[in-house]
Amino acid sequence: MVTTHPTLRRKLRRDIRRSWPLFTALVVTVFLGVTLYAAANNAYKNLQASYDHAFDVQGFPDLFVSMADPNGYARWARQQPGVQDVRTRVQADLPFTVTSGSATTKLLGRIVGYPASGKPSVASLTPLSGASNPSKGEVLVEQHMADAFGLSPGDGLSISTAIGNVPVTVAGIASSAEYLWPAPSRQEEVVPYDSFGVLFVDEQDARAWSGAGDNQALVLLSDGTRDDSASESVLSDLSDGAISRGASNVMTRQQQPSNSVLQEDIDGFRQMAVAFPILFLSAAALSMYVLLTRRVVSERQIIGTLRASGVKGSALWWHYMSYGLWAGVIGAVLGVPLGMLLAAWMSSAYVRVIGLPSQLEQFAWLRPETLMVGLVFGVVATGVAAFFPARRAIRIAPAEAMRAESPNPKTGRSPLERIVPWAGRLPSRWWMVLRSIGRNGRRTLFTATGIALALILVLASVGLLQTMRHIVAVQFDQVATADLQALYSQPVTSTQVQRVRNVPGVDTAEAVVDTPVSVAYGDAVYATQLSAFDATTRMHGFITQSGSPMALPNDGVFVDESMTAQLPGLQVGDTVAITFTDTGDSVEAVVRGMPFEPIGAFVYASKAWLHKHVPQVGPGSVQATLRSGADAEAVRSKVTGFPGVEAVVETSALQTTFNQFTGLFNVFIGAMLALGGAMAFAIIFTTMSVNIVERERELATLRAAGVRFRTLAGLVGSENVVTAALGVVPGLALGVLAAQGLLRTYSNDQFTLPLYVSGWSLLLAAAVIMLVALVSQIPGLRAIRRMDIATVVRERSG
Amino acid sequence: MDVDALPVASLRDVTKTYGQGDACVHALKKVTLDLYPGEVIVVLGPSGSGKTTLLNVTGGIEPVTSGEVEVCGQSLANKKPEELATLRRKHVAFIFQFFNLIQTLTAAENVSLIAELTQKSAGLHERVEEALSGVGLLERAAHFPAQMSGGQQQRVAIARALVTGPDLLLCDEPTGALDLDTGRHVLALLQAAAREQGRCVVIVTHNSGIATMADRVVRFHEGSIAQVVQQEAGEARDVTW
Repeated sequence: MVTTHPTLRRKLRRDIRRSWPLFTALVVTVFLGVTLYAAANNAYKNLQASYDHAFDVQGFPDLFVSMADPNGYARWARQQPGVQDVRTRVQADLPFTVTSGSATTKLLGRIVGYPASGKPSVASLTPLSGASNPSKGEVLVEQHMADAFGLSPGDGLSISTAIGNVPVTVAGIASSAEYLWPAPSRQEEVVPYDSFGVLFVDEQDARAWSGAGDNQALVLLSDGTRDDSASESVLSDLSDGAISRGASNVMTRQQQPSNSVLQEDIDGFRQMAVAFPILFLSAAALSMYVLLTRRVVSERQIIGTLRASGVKGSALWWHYMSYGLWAGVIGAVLGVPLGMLLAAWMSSAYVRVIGLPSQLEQFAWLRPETLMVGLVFGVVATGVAAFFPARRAIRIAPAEAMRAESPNPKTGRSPLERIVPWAGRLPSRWWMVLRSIGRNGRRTLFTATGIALALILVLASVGLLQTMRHIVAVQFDQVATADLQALYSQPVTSTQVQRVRNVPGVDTAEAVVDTPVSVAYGDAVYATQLSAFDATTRMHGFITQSGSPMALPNDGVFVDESMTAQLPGLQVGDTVAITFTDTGDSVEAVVRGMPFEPIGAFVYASKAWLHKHVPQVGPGSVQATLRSGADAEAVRSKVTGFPGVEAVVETSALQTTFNQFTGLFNVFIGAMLALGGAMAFAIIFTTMSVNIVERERELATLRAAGVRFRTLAGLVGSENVVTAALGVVPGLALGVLAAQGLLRTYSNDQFTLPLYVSGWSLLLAAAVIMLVALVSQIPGLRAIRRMDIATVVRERSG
Repeated sequence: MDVDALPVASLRDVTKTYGQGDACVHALKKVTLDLYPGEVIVVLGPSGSGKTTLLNVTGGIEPVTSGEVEVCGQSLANKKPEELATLRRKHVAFIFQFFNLIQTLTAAENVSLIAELTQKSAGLHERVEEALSGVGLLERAAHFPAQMSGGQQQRVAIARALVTGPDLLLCDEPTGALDLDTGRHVLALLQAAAREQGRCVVIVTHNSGIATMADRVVRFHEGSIAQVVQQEAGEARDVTW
């Protein structure tokens, strides 16, 4: 990238040196865009490669089938084309009791059968410490549970099994790709860390403790089939085969709870890798266009002289292109390595949080495609922006260029003056401000666009944050209103309910039914959970999206509003078929309402309705609300000790888990706000500086006439603020749309995220951007103060 | 010219240098000069002789290196930029070779803007009309600079300079971009400002033909006053070059 003319090359170097603050602003904008691209892209690739590696090493199943006779299905499935192997196992949810120091915790855990020796080809584990396989009476503890309770090989815990309470010894700690994100089910993707745990146990123990045989078949496709376009039809055939053999649940690799959650994060990184470069490089391109166009206009006479002297148009074109390309190259060359370093840091921090073992990490610091694309992004953005002013330069005819005044200066009355006759009587200083905005319409448009881009970045982040906070508040203040839930091994009796009710600090308590069901409407079936409460329950709130309360019907059911995506066309008044997984009963029920619940997608009924249709399904838990100021820990401890209680879950623990997520969002939002501000600063600084350079002679003339600096600063500042304000309204609208789009990517059947942004937030976002616009004028205004009036007033205009 | 009056501006041993060491340029060397109300002074000299620097230091838009400048009895020494701006606002106006009008404002608005910004807005509309009428451009009041000729633009610049009622009018090559007829018209307006309104008009030019309209001609050479000629002023309309 060299200018073909040595003197022009020297001029280019000096031009850059003379305008270094503006050039630096451009470089920084490109740098930020490219850095964020490289960081997001490499982070996404690092994580995806690590997950893929973990899945490959552990033989992560392509299909998870829950059924009564998985072995018969496995025999059939192994014969199907594309299937590499099928493994059957026991998976059962049982209560655990863990004693750590003086504290005893009861939790609802999961036991998973695992071979006593060797490494299975499907759904194997990565041992982290201790034994690699469980012997009889021993368990391998999934690493998150081990971390939560400080368990290590040799420790003990007990499992409440079908044959009674069984003490077991921890033989080892292991990592499983199925529980990188420890979620018990699709309905419970986020649970408190000490409320759920997984133990891998000897296969014979698993059968004995669960009181049943194998109940899961795990299907692994061959690599060739998985990567093939036909994999969908293979999986479809395998699913159909499972359903026809009585499978109660079929789940693909994508639907697996842990993978589903983690994949959303990866998708988020992937989207960031596209969205950030677009925002920042658009801003850089706009700034570059404004700056270089001004340079070409101001150098019209030089261009004319050079052209008249026979300098080739291509040399001039390349001279102006080079200015833009250098900014792109410098920004990209600095941004790519920093982005890659950031990616390495982000990837490491992320996998530390989720607990991916280091031996499964597949991080690459240098990814050639990121390097190439990052450089191309930076260079293309500024190159395209420089192309148009450069073309304009060579289109200037020598004779025209030699004129003192710029041809066809844009003057005239503004539309406002034409529409509103009395507007002409406004003070001249007002018109100086207003007409200056219109004097270079394209620059005004670009400045406003830059402001809008910054607002999009800010509002998308703020929208995400506020919505997350709002849904957590709605979920825990209005929907899940119980403070505590005690899970029992047997159907709950009224005596047990009364016992909880009598605990000091408990306000009220109620037996609740939670049972797995599948809901069918038309051809669609959705596996979920039915919860039954008293019709006048205080343990759960039913509300519309606008917050209006709904009463639980005695006849019919409520279906979560978000389930309509899974059961297309379902409306209030329709009839659905509900099949109870545990009993096999199927009941038709009229949908009486669709309450709004941000987290989860459940079916609700009154206990009266449930008892009438499926009397054999009894309540399995007691939910309670606490009095204000009650000692929740004391209540939990007391209830944990009651006979029959298998686990106690506090709603506040779940809320804390969600709040921890929100905490991560806060950091993310802070970074986005800072970047949005930086982008707005770079844009306003560039356009403001160009504006001042362009009007230097006018301003110097006014200074020579004795106009105060404060007055001039006010005039110029007003002009820039009005220009910036033009970008605020579209920026707010586009920002809200961007936030909605972003939230849509995070929404699924388990998370309903309607955008919630308060009016105050919109005002605040606009105010912050306007404040940045004001601050970014300071260098330009200082330039006015330092202006050499004597020199400037004698210059010919250009 | 009122020779008994106090000078509008006085320069005493004014020296102005640019740069340092070998690159040091002496733009003004020990210049002493008094400027009186009602007087037209034409400052002549070749390029680089210090003419424009004289205007700049007199108007306070450049500081002197040594010596003293007083405008309307106020010393410019040690004055802050804002204090100098205030002084200019009250007593001084500039007219430039390239007019320096604001392209987005009409002729009337260019004139009224200065009055507005210098807070002399009482009876503004009448004063703007009077100023434009004085330069013969009332019918062009609503025209933008791009819609006017160079001479018309310079007349607007004169109206802009006069609307605040300055005591001292500092004109840097006011006819440099104009043809003879247009130039004469502009010079006549400046002469009228001195004769009829009692303002001190300093015209810097390298065009010796303009000297005939001056009450005093000051010749500069290499930063020093080479010659001062007091003379009977001719009419600006008779100027030729």
